Amino acid sequence: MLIIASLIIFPVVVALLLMVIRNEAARSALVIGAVVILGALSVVLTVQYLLTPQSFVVPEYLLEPIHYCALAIGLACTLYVLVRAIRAKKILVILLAVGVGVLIVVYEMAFAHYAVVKADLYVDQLSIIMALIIAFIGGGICLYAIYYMRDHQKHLDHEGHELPEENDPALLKAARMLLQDRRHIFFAILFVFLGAMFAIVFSNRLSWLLVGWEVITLCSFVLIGYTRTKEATNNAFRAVAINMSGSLALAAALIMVAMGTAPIFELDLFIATAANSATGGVLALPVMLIAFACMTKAAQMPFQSWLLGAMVAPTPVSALLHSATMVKAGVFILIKLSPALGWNLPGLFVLIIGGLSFLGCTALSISQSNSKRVLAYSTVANLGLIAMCAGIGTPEAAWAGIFLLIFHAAAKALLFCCIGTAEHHLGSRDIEKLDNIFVRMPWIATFLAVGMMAMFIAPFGMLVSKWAALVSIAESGHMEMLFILAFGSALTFVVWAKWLGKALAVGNTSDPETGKAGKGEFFTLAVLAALLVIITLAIPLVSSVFVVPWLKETGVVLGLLPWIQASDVLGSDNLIIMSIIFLALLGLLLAQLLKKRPEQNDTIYLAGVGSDKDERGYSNSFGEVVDAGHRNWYMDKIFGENAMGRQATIMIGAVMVIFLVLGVVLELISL
Amino acid sequence: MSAVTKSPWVLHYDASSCNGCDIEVLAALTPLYDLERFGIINTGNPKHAEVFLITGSVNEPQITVLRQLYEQMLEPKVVVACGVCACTGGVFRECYNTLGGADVAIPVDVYAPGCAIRPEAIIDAVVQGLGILEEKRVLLAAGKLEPAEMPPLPSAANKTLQGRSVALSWKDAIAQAQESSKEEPSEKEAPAQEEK
Amino acid sequence: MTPLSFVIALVAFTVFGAVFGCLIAGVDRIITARMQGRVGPPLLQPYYDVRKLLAKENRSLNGFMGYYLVLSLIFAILSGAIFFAGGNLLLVVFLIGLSTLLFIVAAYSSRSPYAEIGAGREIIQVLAYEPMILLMPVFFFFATGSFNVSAIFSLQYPLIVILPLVFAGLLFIITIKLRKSPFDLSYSHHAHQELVKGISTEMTGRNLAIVEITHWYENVLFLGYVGIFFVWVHPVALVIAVVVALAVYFLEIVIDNTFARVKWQSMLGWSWAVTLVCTVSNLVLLTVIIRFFAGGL
Repeated sequence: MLIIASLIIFPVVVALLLMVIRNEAARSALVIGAVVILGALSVVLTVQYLLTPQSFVVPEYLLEPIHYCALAIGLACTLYVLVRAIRAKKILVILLAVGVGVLIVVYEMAFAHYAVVKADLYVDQLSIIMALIIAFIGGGICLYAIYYMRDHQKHLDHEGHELPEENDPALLKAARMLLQDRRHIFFAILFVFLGAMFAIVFSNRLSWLLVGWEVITLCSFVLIGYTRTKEATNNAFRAVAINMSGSLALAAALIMVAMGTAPIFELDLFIATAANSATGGVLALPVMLIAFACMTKAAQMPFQSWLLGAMVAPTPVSALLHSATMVKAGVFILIKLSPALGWNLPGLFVLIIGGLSFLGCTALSISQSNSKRVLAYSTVANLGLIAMCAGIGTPEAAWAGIFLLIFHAAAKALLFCCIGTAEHHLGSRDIEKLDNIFVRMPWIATFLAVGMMAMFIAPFGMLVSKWAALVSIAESGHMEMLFILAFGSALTFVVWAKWLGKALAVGNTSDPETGKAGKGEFFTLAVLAALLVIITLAIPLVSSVFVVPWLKETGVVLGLLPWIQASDVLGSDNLIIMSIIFLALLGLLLAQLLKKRPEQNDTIYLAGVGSDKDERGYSNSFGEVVDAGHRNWYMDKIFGENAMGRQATIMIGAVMVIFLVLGVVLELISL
Repeated sequence: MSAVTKSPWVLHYDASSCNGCDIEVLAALTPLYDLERFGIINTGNPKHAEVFLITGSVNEPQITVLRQLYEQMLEPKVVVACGVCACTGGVFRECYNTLGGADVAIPVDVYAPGCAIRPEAIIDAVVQGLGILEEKRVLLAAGKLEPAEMPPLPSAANKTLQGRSVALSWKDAIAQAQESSKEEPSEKEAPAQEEK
Repeated sequence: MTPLSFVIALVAFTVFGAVFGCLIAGVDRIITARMQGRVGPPLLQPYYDVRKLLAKENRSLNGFMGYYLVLSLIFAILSGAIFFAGGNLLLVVFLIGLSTLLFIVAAYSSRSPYAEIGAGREIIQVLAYEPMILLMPVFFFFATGSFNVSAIFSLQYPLIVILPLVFAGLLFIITIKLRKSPFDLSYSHHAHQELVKGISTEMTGRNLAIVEITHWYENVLFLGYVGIFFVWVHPVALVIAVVVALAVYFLEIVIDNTFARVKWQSMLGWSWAVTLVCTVSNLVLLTVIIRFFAGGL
């Protein structure tokens, strides 16, 4: 238990230290040290508890202080948001913050405070997977942030020097405020974020889960608004509004289950009760409310706008929100809930919203040329897929969902960090303007390509997971999802193939490596890429050591026969074939990268009027050289945000409302 | 016979033809003559082609185009000048903007005259080209194939070609015209000032 | 699929896949010529073409294109081998997808506008046919209870009996996969197209030869997709499957010669509509069959 406690508390301590330390070198050293220690702790945790999942009871004398502490933290979070909202006059956020604050106080004081529970904390294979993701991928992003934020601040300082003096003093003050070095807050919040994620992963007491939920909402609020520009502030408030509505639902669900005839204060008990009630009916509404909270966190349609808005923050924030934390908290809880889902109202709710989000956001991402928006839409889409797997509620689907979660975290962290580096050195995040990146930044482009291929093509991890999802859907008989997955996968191919092609295009510039990434940056990117490769190779191992035992364990605890009999969905022979193919592909790629390249001795066909000065230029009828560049396919008229974005959002929103109303009506009838 | 002679793919370029020979080239591809019997395909892409069919006479802007297309063709390759204009410039030879036949731009291997050229003549010329193609393939396989010597470019300093003065491009032509038009009014203005 | 059967299938497909693919391509050109009132090239013309391309001068735009194309060829062979060894149908579909992706990336790597537009069109083609190609194995699973191709040899009746509409949908999109008009948007074997040679514009000599050979293997594999609908436990089944596959190829040649290229919007709209209609109605049919003929046909 000491390890779990230290995983939660250590990042917070580091955060406090980081608030104090303003020296850059000391901060870097502390961050590096902390990340290494977190990694070591998570490995120790794995070694210690992998074979024997356990739950823990916090000693009696500690409970009281922790309760008050938790209540204070929860309240402080809502209060901070409330104060900021009042200052910014955001009525909706004020109302939500007050609502959440009241519900937290009511829940903690009236119910949770007197609750007696069998287990306060637990650790099982799934939470170990999650902890490893948080420690390694989250930690990797923190390392990356050191280098990224150094460049970021350099850029701001540069702007600061160029501030015109004769300006209006009020404007000047505002500008100075924007350019201020606030990196100590940035790093502190990153670590608080990690700590809160560990709390969510390990706590079995629902009240602590709620507090962790609030803390990550606050962290995302601060980080999204970090640059303090108007856009950033607005987007931060949008994010907090959506997430607080989720918190409201979560708190309401907790109060509902606490008020029942047999009050429930523990997550495992809650899942067991929901999974074993004949139709899932007893707890249908609370399960739906919790699922709703998870969907707001996971930015499922119609709530995708907060995650897209979060792109205004520095890139490490996007990387963290998308890969190791925040959105993953939502799908993590959904996967945990998955035994309680299936052919029941909450199951269909999660399944359909997730499936539609997958389809809708994949289609929307085709029309984007801003690389970070492509990544954001693809995140929503993939989380939708995970939600869909959770909603199916079979062990096979859960298997697929867990692997999707792992690979999505690894691939997205790498992709975001690559884009961040490319943007710093090449000055744009637009896919069209990152043209010829393969010549200008060969290694970054290679990492980018690895990350992209990991998202959609055999033999990489996401495809293996998608394959399992397809199999589990076929076996569970959810035909509607079958079509969503088939058409969605085709759309996914378009999104990534056209970008991959652009990223791997070999141009001919006279000044190769225009942007050379720093050593530290390069190192962290290489580590993230290596992590991705290693876990892809280790799929059979991860499956047999972590995932399948977890499924079986869950089956034993809940007494569900299909779960007890869970095995590799794809059959270990297919998994091994995939691993061999992956290894071969990797070896061939490396061999090619290390080989000396033949000289270019040919030019591209330009109808005989190509100009030899510019490689893609041609001479027009006035004898001038024109670039024959080609813009990729975006098909805005079909997949554009204006063409289908709003309609899809409204439609899915309507579906969500219908489900929630149905849930409430059924609950009222059962009363 | 090696594979290269069984599958000569064709690139057709129309320089300044009156279109008579172009039509005949297309006629050779019709079912009546059925060039595909010999594996001939009209590719429209220099990178895939072995046989370069040129129709019509050549003017200055076309030199760079012809050279680029020729250079983008992979060895072994042959050039066939189809029709009398492509061979020598034909009836347009003395025209102010005509430089001559295809050989002012690139080395030509087979000359097939005719106005307009008959499809049978095109087929004969291509088949004759196949012999050259095979010779070049043998040389290429032995690593002895030297790139064919390119005809000299008409340079800016030497604005004559084959003893005639030529306008190198429409830009030159306009510049010359502008120069002469500038000179004319100044000649007229000068005496007017003297009268004052 | 045992390792031994896989190795045998790999060797056999590498040899015979190329031979059959080449012969099919030769027959295709002769039949096409006859339909146009011509004599046409010799049967081995595709082989001569590839031999010629291999003997051409070695030039490169960049060192990567040839490499991607070789990988594309390897994965096409691999997926064909797994298919004919009776392996997992989804694995086959995913590996041939990887092969297509590498082909697309090879075209993009040239940075030529013509090749890029061609590659973009190829991506649209994937978008058009992929749903059907992904749904086909799932329906195969519904019908046989397994994703392994080898399951067809123990069926009491051929798949066409219960999956006629899936077969029809497959026929529709296989036109795209075989690069036949009206859906040959990215490139076709016919002379003079509006995009020079589309996706293969920048592929020269050896690279183009690899593209051709990959296409031979792909064609054999896709005809294999057609064939599995006609195999059951009966000994003559294999002969019937081969005959049907050849008949389907003949049908594709007829279609190729009677249609002009369509715009990508039409291709996408039609393929998705056909895919949806065929698969949904076959699903209904399947449900009815299971309901009323639970004991089997």
